[in-house]
Amino acid sequence: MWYFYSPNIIYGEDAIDFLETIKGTKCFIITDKIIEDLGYLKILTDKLDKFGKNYEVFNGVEPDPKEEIVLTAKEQCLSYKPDLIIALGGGSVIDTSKGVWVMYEYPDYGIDDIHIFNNDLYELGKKAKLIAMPTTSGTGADATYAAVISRENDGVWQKLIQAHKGLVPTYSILDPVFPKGMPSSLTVDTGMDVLAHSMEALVANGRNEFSNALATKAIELVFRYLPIAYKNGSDIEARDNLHQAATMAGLAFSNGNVHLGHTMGHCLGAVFQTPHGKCVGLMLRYVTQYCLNNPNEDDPSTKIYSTLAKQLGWTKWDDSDQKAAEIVLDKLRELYKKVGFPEKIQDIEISKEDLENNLESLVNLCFQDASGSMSPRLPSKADFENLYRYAYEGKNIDF
Amino acid sequence: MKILTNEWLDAFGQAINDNPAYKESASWWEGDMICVIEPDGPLDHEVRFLLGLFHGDCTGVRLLEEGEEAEAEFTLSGPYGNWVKIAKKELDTIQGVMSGKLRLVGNMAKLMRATRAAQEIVNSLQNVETEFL
Repeated sequence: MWYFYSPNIIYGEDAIDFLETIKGTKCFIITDKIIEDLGYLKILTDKLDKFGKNYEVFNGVEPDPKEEIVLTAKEQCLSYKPDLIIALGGGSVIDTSKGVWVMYEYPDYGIDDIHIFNNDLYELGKKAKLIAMPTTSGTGADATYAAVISRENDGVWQKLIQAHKGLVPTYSILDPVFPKGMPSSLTVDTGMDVLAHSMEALVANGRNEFSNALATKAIELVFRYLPIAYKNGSDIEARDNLHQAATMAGLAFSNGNVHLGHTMGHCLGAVFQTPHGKCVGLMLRYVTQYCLNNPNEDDPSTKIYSTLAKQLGWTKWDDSDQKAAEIVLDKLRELYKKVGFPEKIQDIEISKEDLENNLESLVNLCFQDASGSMSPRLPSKADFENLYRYAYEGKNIDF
Repeated sequence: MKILTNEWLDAFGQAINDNPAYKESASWWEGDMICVIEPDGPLDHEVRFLLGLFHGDCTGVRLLEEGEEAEAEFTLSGPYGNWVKIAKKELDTIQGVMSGKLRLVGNMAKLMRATRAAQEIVNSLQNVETEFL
């Protein structure tokens, strides 16, 4: 037995108008100040006014939301008693909203009660529906059942990945009116997050035919449209396709898992406060090569990436799996160059000394990140250390 | 070695201690576990054993007597057939719990940080010569 969980997805231009047909009149909007300043909140509230729905706004979400933010928003939500919770923003906003949704429905719950074994969470939605409206095309949080919340433990910020299938939003509304305003650097970082989700989901333990199909399509769309959106952010076709790709990749990894790129990227981001998309996109090339080098012949990575290269027309169908899989690495490097993405850790303003000083913490965190156990190749402590060191220098993985 | 005998449990504990990947991934872990194997197929009675785990070491494994109380941070229960699937790596422990094939009681947030360590415990079992019932 396996499963595939998905929100109801409404996509394309004017998708926001679907709000009119969703039952409920009291909307609790969760967002951040940047979204408000960009005018996106007004786009939403104008629609709600037009559709005769009332609303209250919590605009205090910050990047990499901390537990305290979720608890503050929860109190406002409990006081307002909405029948719809609308998450308008990127992954931080949507993850915060998932936490608030749980604690609105179960006021006695804390963050630690959100976990995959808590069967109460299957009943979410009795008091309010959760509507995710992503404004970036990256995290796929609108389609996933995980919420990443930060907590400080002994002076180290750790990203807790709280997950339960019941946390999948009721609706995901993908309107390209929101991501079309993203600056090119954010477009690239989020696009790389999409790529990391989908490439890791293809080989992670938990992959299945549904996740494979969506991951493959998402990869194709990122390679085709990210360079276009990078050059011309107002290209609505590119924006629309990347927005859909982000949700496809979200569905793929939510149902098929991610692995080491996210394990190592999460920890790098937590320790050095570096944007998520930058970290996971950067680590993607190294962990892909690490899996392709696996001496264990049961590792499916070479066969899977070979098939990907052939399906996307990057190589001939009669090429060997080894040759075809290595073309995927070439294509990754090519894409990094096309969109000006950093290829090594030293390019993201982390000094060699800082990396070495934090290496032990990084590796300890990696061992405690649930995604790490989903990899087709499980690194030892020395492998984790060397993966970070090689990624720092930009060296090909030769172990 | 016949599964669930004292000899087999000792070998299981030794295999965990001989697995360097377990030591590395569980260096931070503190918490014992009770495993409850429920009657199913060839097993006609419940078997429980206590797995002592501390900072990357297995501090001991022992069978619990019928009705014996023992303190542990986690209890993992399920029918014999599903435990055999885990031992043969036909079923992932976490997926087993998620799909209801095994039941877990304890601090779940802590356990979710230990998925790699849990995987290495099962990997250790591959090095124990096991005769199933």
